[in-house]
Amino acid sequence: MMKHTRSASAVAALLAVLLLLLVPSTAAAQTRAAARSAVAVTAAGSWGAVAAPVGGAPVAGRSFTASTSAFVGLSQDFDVVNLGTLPLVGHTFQIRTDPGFAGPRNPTLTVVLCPTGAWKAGRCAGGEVSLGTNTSGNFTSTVPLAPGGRYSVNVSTPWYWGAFTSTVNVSVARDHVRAATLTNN
Amino acid sequence: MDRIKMKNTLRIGAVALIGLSALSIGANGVYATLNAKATNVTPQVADSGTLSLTMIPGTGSAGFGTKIDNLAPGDVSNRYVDLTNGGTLASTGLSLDVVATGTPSLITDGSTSKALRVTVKSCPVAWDLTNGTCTGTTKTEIAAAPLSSLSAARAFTTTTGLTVGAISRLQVSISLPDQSETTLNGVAPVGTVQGGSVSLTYSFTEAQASPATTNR
Repeated sequence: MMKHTRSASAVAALLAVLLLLLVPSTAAAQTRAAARSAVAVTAAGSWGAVAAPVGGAPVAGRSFTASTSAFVGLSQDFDVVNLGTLPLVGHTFQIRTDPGFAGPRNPTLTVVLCPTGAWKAGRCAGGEVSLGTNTSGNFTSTVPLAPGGRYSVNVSTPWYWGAFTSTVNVSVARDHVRAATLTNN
Repeated sequence: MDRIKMKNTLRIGAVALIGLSALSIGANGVYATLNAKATNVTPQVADSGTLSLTMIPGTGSAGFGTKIDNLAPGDVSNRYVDLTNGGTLASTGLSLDVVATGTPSLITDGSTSKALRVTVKSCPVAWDLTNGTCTGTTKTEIAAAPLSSLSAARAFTTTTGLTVGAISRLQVSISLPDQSETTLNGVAPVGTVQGGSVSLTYSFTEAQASPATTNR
């Protein structure tokens, strides 16, 4: 009986201490007020382009390839499609030939861009834009391209002694995306 | 025999009753005193104050009600809100926290500054939304901070509290840090910020100014 009474007293004392610790003191109580917004959504844009067959569906991550036989020049049209949500002010082509040829023995590549996408008898309606001629295969376009837009490109080589396959990759860096903007609303 | 016993018992009871009555009368006489009381005629009124913080879009602004879309690196989008301390108590400890959910790369920086930044500035008069300028003295309340760092309340650095009825006119800037990401054939690198989206809930909080003791 005595033992039970002692246990009860100990439990009561423990509870009292816990209550003192858990309940904030009157001195610490402070009124607070808050103003909360509704959920606001912020989204980032995207930038990227890909080469695709003329008029064909673009597939992200896929290179465009074209082959030619020995002793025949290459003349291949393809499209470049803006897959992003931001307008582009340019992009870079890397055209690699396989098998690779050393330095000056590489096929000389010429890239011509048709912004309207309408070639007719080898000429671009509205005027074509030459991206140059070289053996490195690196070309840079500064032709704007709206989201979802496409234009046509022709890559060509003169007569060449070997057969080869050209692989076209399209790179888009931050510099190829529209300039940053400041909006107030 | 029983009758005698009963009679004795009654006698003892009566004597005890008489004794107790005498004692009670005597005691009252000993403790009798005079009392006086003063009462105010008009009841004193004691009202508790209120603390209230409200937020509305700044003049001409959509506030946080419209989506910010298609951000490119380096873009800054300003939104304007007015906070009003509408209660009857002055406040202190003005702070902001932002609950952000969505694309992790827009919330938390990786090895570089990639995540969205929030900056808060205040102006004593309404902001000019045509160019985002303040004709008064602009104060930076919260320097540019990535969203992840605002999950805990961040105290305003200059406007620490609001007087009763005061309005804090805020410009809240959301920016995507300028950064370089190169896509190859339309595919973005791992951990990209591109195409990401976050949902943000802004909470501004104030606390009552220190309790005051008055003497009048």
